Amino acid sequence: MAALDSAVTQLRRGVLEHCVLALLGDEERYGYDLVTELSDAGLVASEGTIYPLLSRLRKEELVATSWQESPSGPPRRYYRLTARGRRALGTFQDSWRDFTHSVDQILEGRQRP
Amino acid sequence: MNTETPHALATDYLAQLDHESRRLPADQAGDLVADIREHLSSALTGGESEARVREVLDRLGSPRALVDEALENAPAPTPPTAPTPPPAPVAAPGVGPYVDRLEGAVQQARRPGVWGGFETAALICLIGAEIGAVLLPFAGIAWVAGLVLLGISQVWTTREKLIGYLFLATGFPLAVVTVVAGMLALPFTVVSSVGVSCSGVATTGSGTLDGLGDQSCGTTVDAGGVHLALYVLIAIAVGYLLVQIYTVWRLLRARHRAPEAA
Repeated sequence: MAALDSAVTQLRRGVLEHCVLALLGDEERYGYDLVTELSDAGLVASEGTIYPLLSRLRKEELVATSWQESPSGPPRRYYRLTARGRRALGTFQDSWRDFTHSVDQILEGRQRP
Repeated sequence: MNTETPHALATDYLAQLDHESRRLPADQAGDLVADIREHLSSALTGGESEARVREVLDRLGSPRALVDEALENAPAPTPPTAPTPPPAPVAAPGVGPYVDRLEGAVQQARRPGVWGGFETAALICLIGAEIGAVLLPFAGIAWVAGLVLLGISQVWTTREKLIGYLFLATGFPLAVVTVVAGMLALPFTVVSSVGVSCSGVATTGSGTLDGLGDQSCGTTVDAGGVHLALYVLIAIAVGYLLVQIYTVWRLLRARHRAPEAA
């Protein structure tokens, strides 16, 4: 059971970065909005860990940010995809399709008696 | 019984995060704290129950865990794939390797080391050149190396570099001038001191020590003029050395500072 938990944790960790990029594919969003969606989808164990990830994506210029006024409270940092981020997302989507296809085939093959 | 108000919990959390984030480079720590602050102000608009505040904080994760995660995300600029070597600079074949090596050294120096290694080397080169000015060829090379290292440092500010050039880098040429001037002036010094002690010996008729102590002989005026010039020179030299010590102290202190944010 522990091994399974660990595998799922590793998987989550591996795909999280590109899930963030995918969520930014159509619109710009602010941190809290991103974090709650990823958390509700069960992709993060502790929400705060998204922020260091966002910080890194910003430094790697996969996302860009801008400050915007919020209807309530202080201004918020909004994230949007850069051209570079969009390319990275496209590459990952292709790899992911191949990957899941291969894994599915093996898993289904094993289940057969 | 817990008497804390819900927002005091959030304040405590931020204080802990502030403390933990000292393990991070300054700009990263600032980003993390600002992001979490923004998260909390989005999640807690005021008037939430204590249970709700606890839930929001639990979902965030402990401050320690967040800083650990940030540390893992720290070596960002290099992607996890195999590092590709930087493109070779275009240069004449003969000087290629030297240009490569120089570029490497410059890259190294631009990356601020934990110990401010290149800054330390710059100071050692400049101070060494000044002290060892008699060994002209070696001191000269060390001096030039010191000038280059001082110039390319990304830790020191322009102002600090200017001070370094003005008060520290001038040490070597001044030391050379002093040594050369000393060699040229030596014969005259010997003659004048012989003249003084001779008159001293002539007056007292006893040992040289008495002669030097005796100021009543005929050459006193000339000797006094020489002494005055000497004192002024010594005073200037001491003042200059004090400024140099201050410069070294100031540059040493700034050496461990994080480089200016890009």
